[in-house]
Amino acid sequence: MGLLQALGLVPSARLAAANERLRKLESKIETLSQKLSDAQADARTWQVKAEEARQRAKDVKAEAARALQRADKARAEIEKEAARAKKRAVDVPALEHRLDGAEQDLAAARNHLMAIEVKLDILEGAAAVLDRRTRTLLSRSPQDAVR
Amino acid sequence: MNAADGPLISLVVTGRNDGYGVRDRLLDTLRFNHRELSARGISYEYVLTEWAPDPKWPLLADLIADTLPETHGLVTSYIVDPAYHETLTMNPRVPYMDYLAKNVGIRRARGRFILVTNVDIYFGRRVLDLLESRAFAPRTVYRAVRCDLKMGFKHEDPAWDVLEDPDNLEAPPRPLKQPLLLGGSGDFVLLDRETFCELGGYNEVYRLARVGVDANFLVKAYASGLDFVDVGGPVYHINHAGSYRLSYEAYKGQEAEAPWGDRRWHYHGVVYDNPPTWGLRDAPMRDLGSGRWRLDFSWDAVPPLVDLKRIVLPVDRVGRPQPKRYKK
Repeated sequence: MGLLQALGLVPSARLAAANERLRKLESKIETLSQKLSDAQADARTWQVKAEEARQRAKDVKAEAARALQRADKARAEIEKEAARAKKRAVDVPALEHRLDGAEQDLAAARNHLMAIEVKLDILEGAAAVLDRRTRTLLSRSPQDAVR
Repeated sequence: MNAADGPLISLVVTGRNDGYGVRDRLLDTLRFNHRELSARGISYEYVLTEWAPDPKWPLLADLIADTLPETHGLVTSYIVDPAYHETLTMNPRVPYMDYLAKNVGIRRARGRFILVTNVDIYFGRRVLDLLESRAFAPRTVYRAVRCDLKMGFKHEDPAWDVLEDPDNLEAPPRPLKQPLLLGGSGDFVLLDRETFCELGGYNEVYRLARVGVDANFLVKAYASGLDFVDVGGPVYHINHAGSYRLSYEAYKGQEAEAPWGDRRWHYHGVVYDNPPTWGLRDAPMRDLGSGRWRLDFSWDAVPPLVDLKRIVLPVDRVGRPQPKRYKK
């Protein structure tokens, strides 16, 4: 044994064992290489997904900003409308009061109009009666009428 | 005439015997109404104003005396000189002035209550029940709805089942509506005499129409604070050709030509303040005997042709319904 070692030789059994270890190491290296390759592929997939997620986050953020803008606009509109409604609420009683006054004026005007129309009817009737009487009188005694 | 010992009711009507069937309608309704009133012991007088009668025809008062002797002593008639019509009319198309005539009767009535009606009206049971009960109050206008009997209805003395038979009616009566209970009010208005006279009877200032004058009185009564009560039963009207209800459509578009005057005048909207001489107060009266009086013509009894200050607006009633007024 010592001599073989001195000559740089190893027993065949030991060589076989070394070969066997070498083969196993190569196999392990092969496996590890495969795993490394898989890991690299996974990494690339995750990188894509991360990129997509980043894009979605960016979109959501933009959408949120727009929604916020719309909400601000809506709030401003509501505030304006509330101010208008408040103004209207203040004006309605005054408007109703004016309407009541106008209705009373209209009723009074109509009443007076009726009275005037009736009086005009009477005047017209009286004029017609007097006209008739005058014509009768004149037709009966024209000489008296001339005198 | 002393009113203190007067009857409970004065039935005030007007008519003229001029060949248009008034005679028969008056005699038929008076026969029936007298029988029913007498049977219930209702004391009444029948006050008939014969407005400007045509001398060619017998007086209605004489026909009543001849035909219905059972009414002797109950009928008072006022025969109004035709010259009053000639001087009072403001519309030559209107041949008869019902409400001036009725005012003549109202002013001279002696009953504690006055029932203004027409000579073509039969009283219904509810009306007679009310009169018999005497359950009516002063300052209250009582109204009864009018049922029109079919044209050609002819019964000298109709029995109740005939009068009340729905088949004998032109149509079911239109219910009276608050607040004024308008509709055929010339056919039935019952009111105490004192209030009737306080209101000055019917409108004598506007003398261009006969239509609407009865409603105009109700407008005035309402504005004067009177209560209104529906009797709850009808009177029955003998329909006849030429009546306003049957003929007014014929004057559509030419209302001013109608023989009852222009139906569009503002009788809902204005009222009147008759002169104190309303009802021909100052007309000289001549006793013709048998309850007949003649009102001779005198210019002293004739009110002014025009008296515009007597056309006034009715007062609103606080807290009460306001009748519709403006019509045009």
